[in-house]
Amino acid sequence: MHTKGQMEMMETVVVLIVFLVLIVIGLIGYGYYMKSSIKQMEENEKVERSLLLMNYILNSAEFQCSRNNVVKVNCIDFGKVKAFEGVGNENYREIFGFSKIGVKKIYPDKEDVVYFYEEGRGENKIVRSVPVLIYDGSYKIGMLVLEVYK
Amino acid sequence: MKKGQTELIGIVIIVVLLIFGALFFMKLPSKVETGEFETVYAGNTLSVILNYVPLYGCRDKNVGDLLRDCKFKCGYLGDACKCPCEFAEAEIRNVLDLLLEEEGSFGDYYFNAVKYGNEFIKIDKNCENNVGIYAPRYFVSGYEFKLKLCK
Repeated sequence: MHTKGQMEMMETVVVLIVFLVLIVIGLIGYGYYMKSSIKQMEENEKVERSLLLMNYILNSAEFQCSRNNVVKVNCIDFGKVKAFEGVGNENYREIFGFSKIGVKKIYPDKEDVVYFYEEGRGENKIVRSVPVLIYDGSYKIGMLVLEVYK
Repeated sequence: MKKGQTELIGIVIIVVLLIFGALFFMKLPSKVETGEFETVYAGNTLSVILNYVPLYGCRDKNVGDLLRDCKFKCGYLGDACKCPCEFAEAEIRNVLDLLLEEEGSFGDYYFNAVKYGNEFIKIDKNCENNVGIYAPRYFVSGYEFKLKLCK
């Protein structure tokens, strides 16, 4: 036989257990979404870095096309890219970080990608490419290929 | 209803609301940011196409210049200087087909050129009425060029 006090105590314990179960479920859900959110933030950070790299490359004198001091937008001078290959990665590590950067000619003739900066490797990366003009004696259409590592 | 039961229902409602709140808060910003690169990609594509100087074109004129020279259509693909409309249109199609095939996330496109409100070039590959990403508008002295990319 249970007394009224015992019954009330049991009721409180049951309420507490249910409350704790709900809290645990909530925390698990919150943890799961935080994990996916962190993953998403990591991806966004890599996309932002690739955009920054793209902006830097397309607007820096080391790569952009110019004639008579007039700069052509979204254009990469292939001669400068070839010259950059010999400069060495360590001088640009601070700017380009862990990434792999190259250009690929597509039109009128398709060619293989030429990487001019390679630092770091791994599976945790994003690969992005944007169309650019490539000047190689004549204008070609190609891609600036960016592989950004974590 | 007992006092304990009422409290339990209250807790359940609060927890459910918290979960929905957290879901909404975490999902919303990521959706806004995903289109950023695609917009840049579309903008670059349009800019690159218009500034491209074809190797066997008309002197040093780029595709944008050829489109601005487009007054009367030849009706056939001829010399770039004599038939700039057709030449520019063919170049745009070729370039877009190759670029989008290379990139992989877009397949179809819609390009149009408008002079003082009148459309004079329209290239549509299953995209005009579909959902897609627009390149930022490109204006050059009375001309407007638009590009939309669809998945």
